[in-house]
Amino acid sequence: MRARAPLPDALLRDARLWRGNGQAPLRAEPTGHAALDALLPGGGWPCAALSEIVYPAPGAGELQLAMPLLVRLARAEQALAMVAPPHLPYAPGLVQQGLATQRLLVVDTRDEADALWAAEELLRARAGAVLLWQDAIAPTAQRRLQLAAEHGGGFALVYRCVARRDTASVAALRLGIERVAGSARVEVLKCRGARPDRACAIAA
Amino acid sequence: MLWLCLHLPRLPAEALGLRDPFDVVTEQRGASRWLITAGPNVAAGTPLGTALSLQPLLRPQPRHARAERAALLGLAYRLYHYGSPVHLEIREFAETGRVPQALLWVEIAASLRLFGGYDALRERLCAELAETGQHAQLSVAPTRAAAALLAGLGGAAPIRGLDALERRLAALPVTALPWPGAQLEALHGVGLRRLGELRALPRAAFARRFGAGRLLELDRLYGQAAEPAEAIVPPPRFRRRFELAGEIEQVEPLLFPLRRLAYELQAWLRARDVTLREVRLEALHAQRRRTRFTLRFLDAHRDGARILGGLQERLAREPLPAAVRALELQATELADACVVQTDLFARSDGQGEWTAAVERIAARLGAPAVWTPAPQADHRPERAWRSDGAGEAVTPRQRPLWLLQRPLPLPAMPAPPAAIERIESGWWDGDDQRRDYGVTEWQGQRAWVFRTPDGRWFLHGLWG
Repeated sequence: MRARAPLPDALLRDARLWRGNGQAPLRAEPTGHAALDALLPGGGWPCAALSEIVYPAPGAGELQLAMPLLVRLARAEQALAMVAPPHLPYAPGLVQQGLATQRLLVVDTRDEADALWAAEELLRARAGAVLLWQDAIAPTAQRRLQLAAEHGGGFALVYRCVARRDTASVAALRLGIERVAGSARVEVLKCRGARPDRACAIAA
Repeated sequence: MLWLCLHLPRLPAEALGLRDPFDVVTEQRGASRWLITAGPNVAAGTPLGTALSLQPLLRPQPRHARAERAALLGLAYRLYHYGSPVHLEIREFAETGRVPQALLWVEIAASLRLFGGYDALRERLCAELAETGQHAQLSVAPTRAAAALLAGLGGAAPIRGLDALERRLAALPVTALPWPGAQLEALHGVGLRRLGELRALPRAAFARRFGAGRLLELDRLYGQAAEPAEAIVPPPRFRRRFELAGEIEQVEPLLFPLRRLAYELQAWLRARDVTLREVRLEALHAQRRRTRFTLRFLDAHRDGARILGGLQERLAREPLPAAVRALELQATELADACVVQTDLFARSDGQGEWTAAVERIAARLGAPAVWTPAPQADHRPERAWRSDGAGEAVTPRQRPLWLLQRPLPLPAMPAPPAAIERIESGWWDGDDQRRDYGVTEWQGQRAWVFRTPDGRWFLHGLWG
């Protein structure tokens, strides 16, 4: 039997090629949680893309999931924004996590349309990362955010506080987080370029 | 001297914000009314009755001389960065049926090299005029009078020298002169048709017959006499008013005049070499009522598009309380010009975009909705943060990432926290607090809870 020729490297490096459990190279930034990085294609948050975090209630460790990324971006003098957060982002706590809060902009909005618009504007204006809290986000809105993130080259993180995790999403990465017996557990619900449905615990 | 002259045939309509070709402006003297801007198939100067029989769809509007003058001044400031001095004139005629001429002159001989020649300058100027939809006929001549004459005839190739000017003028009809109709008729009566023939007359006889003033005007036209005039200098303050043709209730029709005001402000800032920090827009309603909109910029700048964008968002946020008759834009706070420092590396190129985006959001949602958190040195959790981004020291004790706006009473006692932190402070300013804080698990959340002296438990923060 003739030996199969190996696939060309250029083809293997293409993120559009899905190879079962093989991890396609993807431009990504480490999440700062080693156990989680190991599960993700590219080893972290996908760059210039939309990621979604599904959490049951504020306080599940959802912000700490993104904190190492925010700290690193702020240190690189990138602008950060939180749009329509569910509670007051508490400066003493943020500083204790190592975040340079003067790089952070908080936008309080009256309705979801305003929040979406503001997040899109900030992403297009080359924000390092924009965190948007919106539970019922339409697929078209997600696509707009995705395009804005591609345009500005930043990270778009959408927080959705929903009970059901199986709703459709166009996000490049979809993580679910919940607190089980005093520690946060992250589950990869969907990711571009690798097989999802894996979980790990993070310190939060 | 080389004068660039702009003849603005549609200024009376543009000053009122009329853009439709069927909107025409009329002048009235006694019972006679005539058009001073041209309509479709109707020339300017046509009596209104005749014009309406030719073109029944015309919408005539009376003239607003003050608005015209203000618009011309605004345009003069915009031309200021092309050269100096800048002069303007609205030529009025006593007879009925004649059309006033709005004229602007800029001396460009000194700045031609800067702009890379006349063609480049003209292109840039035309693009700038097109931005605000202004019609202009351009001409260039060594004297102001000649430039105005040529611009009034529709513009032509630039004339640089006096000899070329004399040749060009000789062929022009006498009727192009901005002289009273009776005088032009008298010239016609004696058989003088062309300017060349007029110029060939003996000077003494010409002065006796038509007046020494006319001879002087002719000398000025040919560059043989000085043309003194008051130069326009941008005033130290910017305050421009735009009269609308009618009462306007929606925001969309206001955008066009707003655009013109914003670009005039930009030109004024350039001419004065200052930058803008705060601007105020006033919408004037009936009975002297007015609505004020103040817009503050994060950093001083002189970008017309940014001013316009901010004002648009601001107007979209609050509905207008009543119909608007006029708009007034005022620069309320200025800053010195600063040379923009560009980074050698491309990292900071997004800074301007970011600032502009934040301003747009602040304009639409209100300034307090956009803030930057910072710690404040106070023991009480509610007062340990501020929203202006100026950071102070932070307590070494553990603090949550989310703070609840108002502590939430807990229906049951939570699992007892491992460590208790007593915060007792504020007896001096009326906000006395005595609370025992601790970290615990509450319904699948890592929670910051406290107990009051009377034994009630509250949720105050969360580790998101």
